[in-house]
Amino acid sequence: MSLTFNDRRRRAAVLFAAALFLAVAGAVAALLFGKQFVSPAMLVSDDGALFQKIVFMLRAPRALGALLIGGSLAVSGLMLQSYFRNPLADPYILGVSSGAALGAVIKIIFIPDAAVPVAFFALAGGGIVVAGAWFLSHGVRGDLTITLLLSGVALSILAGSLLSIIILWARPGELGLIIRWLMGTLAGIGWRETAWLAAGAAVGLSFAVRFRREMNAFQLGATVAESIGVNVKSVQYWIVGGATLLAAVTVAAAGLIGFIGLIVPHICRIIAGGDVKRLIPLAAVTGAAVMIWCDTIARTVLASGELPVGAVTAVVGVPFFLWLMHRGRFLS
Amino acid sequence: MNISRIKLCLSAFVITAWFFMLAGASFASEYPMTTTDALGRNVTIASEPVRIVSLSPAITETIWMLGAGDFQVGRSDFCNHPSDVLKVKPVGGIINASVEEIALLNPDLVLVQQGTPKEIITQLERLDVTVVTFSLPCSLDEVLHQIGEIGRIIGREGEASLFIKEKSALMDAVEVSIQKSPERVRVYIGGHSAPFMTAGKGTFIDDLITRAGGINIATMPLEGVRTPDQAWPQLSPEQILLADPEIIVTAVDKGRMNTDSGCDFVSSLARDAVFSEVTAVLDGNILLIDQDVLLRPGPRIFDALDELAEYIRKVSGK
Repeated sequence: MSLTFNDRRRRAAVLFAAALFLAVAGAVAALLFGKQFVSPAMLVSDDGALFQKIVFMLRAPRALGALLIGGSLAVSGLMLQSYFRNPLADPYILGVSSGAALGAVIKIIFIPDAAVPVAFFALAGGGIVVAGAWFLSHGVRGDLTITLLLSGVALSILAGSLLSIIILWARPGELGLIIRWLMGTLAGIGWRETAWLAAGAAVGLSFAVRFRREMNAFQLGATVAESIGVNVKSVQYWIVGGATLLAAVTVAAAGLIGFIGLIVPHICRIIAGGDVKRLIPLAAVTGAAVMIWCDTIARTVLASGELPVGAVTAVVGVPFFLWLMHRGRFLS
Repeated sequence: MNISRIKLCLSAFVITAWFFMLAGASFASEYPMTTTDALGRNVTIASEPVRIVSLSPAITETIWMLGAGDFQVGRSDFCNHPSDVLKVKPVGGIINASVEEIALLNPDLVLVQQGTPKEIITQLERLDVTVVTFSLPCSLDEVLHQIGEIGRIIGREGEASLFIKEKSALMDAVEVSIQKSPERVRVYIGGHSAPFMTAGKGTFIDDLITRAGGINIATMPLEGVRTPDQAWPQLSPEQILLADPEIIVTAVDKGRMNTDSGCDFVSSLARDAVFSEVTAVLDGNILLIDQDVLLRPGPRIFDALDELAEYIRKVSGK
């Protein structure tokens, strides 16, 4: 059964409404639930001061942060999948993750006492690797989308190997920090981090919206895009740059969170078709909804302590995605 | 006569009271107090803590050893000694502790060791919770110093200084006893399967081996082999064969100490390609120590010192 344009539009609207509802419901749940249920009445009770702190200083910024991170990662993945015309592309494909991990681990092991936060080193590391990939792919003959992808993957592997060498110098306490960072957690998100995330998301999203038509053209290949009047050379800076910014800011704030950036754009595509214009808001809201529920699970499910959210996103998301892919094949 | 006797009694009373006041002043901690923690921050503790959370097994053991266990309201999942600690509410592991769970306990002092994620500390401080970070001690002296500092900030200075006095005496006694034999026994502390991770330079375990009269094969100079510069290096099988340890110490789970698996460990060393050639295995000098005692830089590390020193004496006396 093939879907008409109107079918897709209708299904996009349904998915958008459902995801929006889930995101809002998730945010409300994130404020109410945690290690202890906190009702609005408890906030104004006699010992409400503690509960107010927990809700307004811990849960609220973290919920907002989760929405922003989920949305940012999904849109970043969408941008790179469209640009590279590659279903395996995700926010981390150009090495922003391994670069950021390398930067973070260098800081954790060699200069643990420096006042500069780990996030700064992560941002710098991620930026250097992506810029390096970009630089190396230029001047090579052939399609830039392929040379960029390959140099990104190569540098990413290099950074990963350096990382595993440096880890040999880790002391036991630092190993834990590194593992925690590699698995991703939103535990460190307060209002300040949320402000950074919001700024990054605003800039990255505006790039996505501004270049939505160009990304549609790139889905047909760089040559086709050029032939229908897209200024490929300058536009690709903005697309790759915007996607990298979205990924880098989330990595700096919460470490590596897999699955969302890879799978959420695909989920949206299976349901609503391949038009990037429609997919941007859809991916943003779906990513936000998935992220906030996964983080709520990560915060609450253990009797003591928290699960790494990167593991939750994959455990919850992968079966759903596989199911959808099998059903989707019959539908479209 | 009467009056002078009363005077005498009075002055005796005043002098005694004064003496007790002085003694009290030197032992009781005064609040608010400031401490500089391992992150180099000055932390102020407003009053004697009565709701303490500890995210480090070694610190938890110290709190209980100093008799302040009743004031501990939260612990890490790994804090398991003494057994009464298990009644205290767990708040997660060391890297995945839940800030919310800690905050819900309304603690007036949270004690952590380096290795606790900075974000957890930052988030707690945003909620106005007092957090003191301790370094991972690099020597037994540092362990004692840390116990003294924990005692000071939780109002158990007297108990801490008694403990320090007692364990310093133990260290002195061990030092005297090892001076009798000039030869140092080669010791390997670690597992028997690759990667052979061990304690290297600048670790409290290296210090423990040295003080007990041994020499750590991971830090001892070997001809043609570079001494590893990591704190927790991985040794190659060749390094172990070249160094030829005379004693192998392995940290094991307490539950498995005297069971079949403990014997399994010894017999599997005898079958191992690397270890079957090593003097320690040929002579049967294999010491199993409860991992919680050996690997935690807390009060019980001195039990490990005592045990290892005794074992080394036995082996070198053979």
